[in-house]
Amino acid sequence: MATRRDAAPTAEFFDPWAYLPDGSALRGACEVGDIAAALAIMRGLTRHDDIAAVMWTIAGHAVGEDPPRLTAAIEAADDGTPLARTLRAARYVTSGWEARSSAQAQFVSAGQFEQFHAWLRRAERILFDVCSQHPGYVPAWEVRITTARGLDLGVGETRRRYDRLAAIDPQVFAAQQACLQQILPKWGGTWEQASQFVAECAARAEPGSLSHLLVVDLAFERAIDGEKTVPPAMIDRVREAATQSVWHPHHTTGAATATAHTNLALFFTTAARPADAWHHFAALSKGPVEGMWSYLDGAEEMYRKNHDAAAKAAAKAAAKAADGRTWAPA
Amino acid sequence: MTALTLPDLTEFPGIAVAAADGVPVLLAPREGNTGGGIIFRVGSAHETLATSGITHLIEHLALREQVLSEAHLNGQTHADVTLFHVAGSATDVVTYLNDVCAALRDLPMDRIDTEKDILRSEAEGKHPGFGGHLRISRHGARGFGLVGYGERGIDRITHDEVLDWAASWFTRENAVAWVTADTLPEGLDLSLPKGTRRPPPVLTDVLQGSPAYLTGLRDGVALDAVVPRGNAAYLASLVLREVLHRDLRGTADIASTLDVDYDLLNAEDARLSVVVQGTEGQQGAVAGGLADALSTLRFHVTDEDLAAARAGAVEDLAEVAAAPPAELLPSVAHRVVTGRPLEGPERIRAQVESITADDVRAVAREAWGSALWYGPDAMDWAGIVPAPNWSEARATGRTFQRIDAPDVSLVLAVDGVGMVTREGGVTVRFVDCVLMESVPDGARVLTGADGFRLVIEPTLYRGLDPSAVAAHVDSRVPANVVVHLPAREPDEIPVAQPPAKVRTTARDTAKGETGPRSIPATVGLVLGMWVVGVLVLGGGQVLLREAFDVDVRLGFLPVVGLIWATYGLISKRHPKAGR
Repeated sequence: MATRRDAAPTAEFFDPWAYLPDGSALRGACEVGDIAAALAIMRGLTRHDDIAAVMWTIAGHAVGEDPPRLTAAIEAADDGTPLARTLRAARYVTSGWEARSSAQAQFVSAGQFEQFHAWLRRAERILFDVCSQHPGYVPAWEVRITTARGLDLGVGETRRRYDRLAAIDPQVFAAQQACLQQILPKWGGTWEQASQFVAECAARAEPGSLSHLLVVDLAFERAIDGEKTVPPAMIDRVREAATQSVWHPHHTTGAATATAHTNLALFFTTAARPADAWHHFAALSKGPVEGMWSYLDGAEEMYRKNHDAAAKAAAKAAAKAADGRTWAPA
Repeated sequence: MTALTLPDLTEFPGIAVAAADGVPVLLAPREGNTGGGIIFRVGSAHETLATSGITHLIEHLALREQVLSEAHLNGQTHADVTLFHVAGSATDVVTYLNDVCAALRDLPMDRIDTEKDILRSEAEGKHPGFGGHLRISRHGARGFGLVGYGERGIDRITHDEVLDWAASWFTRENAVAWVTADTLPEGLDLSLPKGTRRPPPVLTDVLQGSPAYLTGLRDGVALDAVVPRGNAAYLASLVLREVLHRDLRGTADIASTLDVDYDLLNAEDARLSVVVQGTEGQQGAVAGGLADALSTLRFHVTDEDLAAARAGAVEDLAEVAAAPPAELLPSVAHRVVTGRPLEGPERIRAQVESITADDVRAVAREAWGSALWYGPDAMDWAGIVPAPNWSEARATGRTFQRIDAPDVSLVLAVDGVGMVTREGGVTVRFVDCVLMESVPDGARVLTGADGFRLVIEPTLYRGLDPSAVAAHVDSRVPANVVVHLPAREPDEIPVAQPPAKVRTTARDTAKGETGPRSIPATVGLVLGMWVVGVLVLGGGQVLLREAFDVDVRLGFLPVVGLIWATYGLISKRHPKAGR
């Protein structure tokens, strides 16, 4: 099963640049292949989740195009700095996943796997050296969590990489999401391990941190794994997680906030709580964000439909609430 | 007799040196009983595969006549030295040393067959394990690689060879003795034949590029690196230990055991070795953690790690400095006979304290570059190449197709024999053949100096007369590397099976593993385990017991289960090839 980063955006409907810091400048730079300019913008970013969001957006831009112009531009812009090398590796990772496709393993051909692993090995070779030379460089460790998974280095190795990263910065949500993927049953883990990891991240999360929201990834993974209905306790848990993160006064809006909202909207949609979903749809003022909607066939259509349904449900609820106030006994 | 130059032991106050019969004798008194010994610069790594075990055999023969009721005595054959030592009364020591030297001058050859049997039974149940596999893979079937084979020469060593070996290696010039006394004891007779001081064992390297990896070790990761010998390398090993303890044990529960060792190989080189056993389910993390740790040391050595390593080294040296001189006699004798500098603990301490982070980083770069890794899976993701599965050159000559595996052929060439497959070939040239095991039915097993090994079962090849193999190889392989084994039972001679269907599809794709050749990691795993399997099939009993198709059933390697698993997939398509 795919993750967010496993597949390229399906259409312009979801604009991956919309919520990134300097998103339009970044998009412009990538479209003309001016990676040096993109790197310059990235060097201004201080939060690891912002760097990760920008990194994966650039890495996923026009991936799989032929000829691979952007890949060549990213390689040409590799000035030996950890950032440029990590971006290059991330590009190889997305190229690998493009070759593999986001299908389940049994539907991926031998040739696809060969290409997939070849790309990931190229990426890992770079990242291995970056982490040796700059052991404190979080973005490289973040990408290495995903290369470990793709190269089948094992749950233990992926977790070790996450732990190395968390020892430097324990609040990198992108890294937690990447690590959770490995711990899920589909990549060699178990639901118990996954739940435990989610709980660990939440326990260490600062007020306002997105780390509270890892439970959303877990809940949605369970839902698409065939869980018939979302348990009420899980709905409560996710509402609380939203309160502790995106709705918390200490939350700093960053590149990943929009993705968090779209995933929350997706979760409440799946849990048949459209009115809850609406709060999160509504928070996406700059347009739709794909997030885990990419898991669904016809993501755009599903998003539109559920967005509209959520809006109606919320309006109805509001009307009902208003009526309630009118008729409420004094 | 020419004048003997005695070692300069001024940096070891309290140790005197004298000479007895041309052998230097180190002296330092101690309270209580008396200790003594004699050490020779000859060990198993000085042998060849065809003579392997000869030093150990002589050590046994030399001790055979010893009957000392009260004394504690022993002999030990190591890779680079052999020593005899005793503790008891002053008379016991003199008697023991005199008897050992007398026996070495005039070995009790009537005991040789009995001692060979004893060595064979000592060897039973022992196996070279993963360490032996690493040695063979790095050094081949020579020098330090021989430890990976066991004492394969025992079945063919002749009386004359034993006498020659004793006379040329157990000599007074190649010996150093010690006695815990202040003067040479009365009646000491260390008469030995005249000879020369021997060099260290040859240091060979058969890797075709490094860093390299082997696969198939289930429980953890072992690493073997050759680094420039010196205190910087010693300190680097201590720094690495600090880092690994922190990364794999301190802050994470990845390793259950962890060993880092530093051993001298010769005047220039030392071996840095690491063995890490993973906790349950953490084998992948062991490989990753160890690779990250060693690689990072190429660039970063923290002040804390360097200080901790230095403190450990200084503490060890302080212990040496504080030890009574008599206790240092065996280790000083070892230094003298192996030609190590006779530097005292004070001087070494000063050197250790002057070593910088730069020095340690330089050693780490050497260690990384020369490393041979042995872990569960491929390590190509870290830029490490697979250790060679195939010989560099393929044999060309008369070719015979294998009946049950048509893409495997046996080649009888003018200068050697080979096995050729689609993936590669294994070649043993006659001039490089270091051991050939031979049975009357015509089967032969040839081992090359590079460690590659070729099993020839004539019954498995189309159009190959069993006598043709013998006719081709027997006259070309030097007689002094041939082991003649007894005839096999008829049911031990393999019979060719019909060709197996080649299975190239429908592998388990659940974890994305879709075919052995499509995924280099899987290829590495499968071939690596294959190499392991063939590698360890040492000993003449292979030919006696094993049919070609089932020869991976020796139960003495931890990877045997995995070999079985992969064997089923590839047995019909790959030759009995590898080291």
